[in-house]
Amino acid sequence: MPSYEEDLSEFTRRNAQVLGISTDNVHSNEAWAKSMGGLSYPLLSDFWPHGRTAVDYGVLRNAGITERAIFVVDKGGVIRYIDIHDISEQPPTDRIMAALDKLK
Amino acid sequence: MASKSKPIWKIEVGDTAPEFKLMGTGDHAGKGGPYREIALSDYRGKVNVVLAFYPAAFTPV
Repeated sequence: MPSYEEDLSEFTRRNAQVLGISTDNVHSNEAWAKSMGGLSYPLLSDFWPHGRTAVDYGVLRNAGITERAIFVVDKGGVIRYIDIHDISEQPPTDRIMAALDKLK
Repeated sequence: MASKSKPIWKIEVGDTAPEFKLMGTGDHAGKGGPYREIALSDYRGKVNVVLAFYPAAFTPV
């Protein structure tokens, strides 16, 4: 997540709002973000019903946590880019930017 | 779009993004702002949205 922080102006320039989502509760997310010095976007808690949104997006794993995944949604609510990554890897930001560049 | 660990249910590019309404931190996580609920539809017609699912808070990056 911190790497997105560095790229935040690039998201803003592309008229994009970043939303982090995990199955943690909101207090854990706030504490985690605080430990990193704060973020410029919100973290959402897919906490109860646990992982419901992750199920809807097909990214809930058996252990009750989510894949590391990116979905770019355009202004019309349509998914325009999907990147589901190994849990240990950070999705490449340049491809997200390229996907956003195609949206107007 | 390639997926090494492909889930059973998979949504695809071109699908309507599933709606959600989730409790969030403030607009700037970790800065002590008031928690608030955020729905995907809040952004409809306004901005593009990048949903970044991540495994768990306090995971190394």
